[in-house]
Amino acid sequence: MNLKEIKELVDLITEKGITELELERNGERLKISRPAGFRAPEPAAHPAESRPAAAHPSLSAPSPVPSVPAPVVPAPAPAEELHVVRSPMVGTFYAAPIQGAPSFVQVGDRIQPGQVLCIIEAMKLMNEIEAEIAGEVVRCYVENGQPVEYGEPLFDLRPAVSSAKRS
Amino acid sequence: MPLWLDSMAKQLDQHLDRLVDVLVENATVVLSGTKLASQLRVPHSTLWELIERLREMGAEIRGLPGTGYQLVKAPDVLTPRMIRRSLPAGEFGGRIHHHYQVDSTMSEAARLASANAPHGTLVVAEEQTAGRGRFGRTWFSPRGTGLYFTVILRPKLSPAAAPILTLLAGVSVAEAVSELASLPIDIRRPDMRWPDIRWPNDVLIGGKKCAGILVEMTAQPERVEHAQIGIGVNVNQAEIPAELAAEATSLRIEAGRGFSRLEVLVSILKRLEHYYHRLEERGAGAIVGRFGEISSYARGKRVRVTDGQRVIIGETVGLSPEGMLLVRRDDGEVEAVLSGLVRPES
Repeated sequence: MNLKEIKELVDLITEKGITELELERNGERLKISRPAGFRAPEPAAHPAESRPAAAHPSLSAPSPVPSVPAPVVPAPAPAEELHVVRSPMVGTFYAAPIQGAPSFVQVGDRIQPGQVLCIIEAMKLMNEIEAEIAGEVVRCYVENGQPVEYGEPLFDLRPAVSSAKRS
Repeated sequence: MPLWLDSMAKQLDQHLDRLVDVLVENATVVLSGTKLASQLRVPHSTLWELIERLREMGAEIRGLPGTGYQLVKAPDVLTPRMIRRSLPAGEFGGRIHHHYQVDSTMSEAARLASANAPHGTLVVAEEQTAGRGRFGRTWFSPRGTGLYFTVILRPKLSPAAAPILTLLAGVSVAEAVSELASLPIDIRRPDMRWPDIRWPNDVLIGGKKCAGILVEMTAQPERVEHAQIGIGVNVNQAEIPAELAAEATSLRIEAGRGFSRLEVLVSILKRLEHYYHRLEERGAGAIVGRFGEISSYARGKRVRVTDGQRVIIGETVGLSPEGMLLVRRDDGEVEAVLSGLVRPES
């Protein structure tokens, strides 16, 4: 089973709204499950709001556990040019520096390059994610404390008209 | 802190460092007040205040009317000059910022890093007024007994590869503690007391925490701007406050003797630099391998991992190449743990 096949399976179960799939082939067993409560995207209701597949594939013995890169479902191209901030790593998303404190940013906030948007935590490394551009936060995809995958969208930013990408 | 107050505090820190260095280097002689004041370029009244500050910090300084001052007992402070003398030439500690009091070495290091402080810059404090752990939890940071410092790194790692830095710090501190306290690590002897690392980076002796590590990083999606490794070590605390006694300990309590904080700092810094170079040369495998040798949590330990609402119970079966903890659940499935609270499960 290669990564492409696994990715296709993940896409399939996401699309069909299946919560769990188990498969055995040539001594390799693959189980893909999605936390209950996670729904497949509802294209009819929110055309521009596609959620990435929150699937956590895990392979079990006898083969060692490889790290399976997260499936990234590309968002449908929105009408306006939005800048999507994606998670640079697998980890846990935190919207605020301290539990109970106000979020770093909220939808509607104007932000500057270098401004902290959120923290992604992995193995107790607290990674402050900075904005690369000036603009406005138009969407936050993830809730505080949720796991995120590599490449998963975190925010949509509407670039300020005169913004230049920070090198 | 207003800028003028901040720069006054920094100037005071520098005067104190200079005074300690001059007193220590001339401990056998009586130094005239006039000479000291001119060496420090401060008025007599300021010199007198500085001497009083050092006395408050445990220094014994004899004042001889008409002649001058003589050091009887040096204060246990970590001046940049003393650190530099004990540290082999290297990148870590190339620049040193020493504070007698600071909110948190992590916050100060983050400020310095965003003002372009170079790789290896060390921030060390005698006392933190707002020492912190993750999510703003406080780290009890009294003056003199503990060691509080942060090293600024500019790693050539992708953000996704950076979490290995937390294991790197844990390995460095555990090794330093083992050597200093003469407690050799032998994870095959669970009956013995040795420094252990509870994944990913709590350094324990006899199951109690003696050092805390906090790693913070600022990154844009593609590249790491800078990372700060913050380390707090309980060094010379004779006792631990009752509310922490079940979970925390100090080197002094475990080894039955006091330690020079300078020695502890230098020992940890050397190892941090050593393992950082290993990481650069050989990749994460070098760190993960060493972790497996000196942490009883890496393999064969029954643990409970609590991550928000989720709980995993099972036996550890090693680490992934990136350093994630692999736990075989009772139903046979192996999970790679990336975050959460790891505790032994009976």
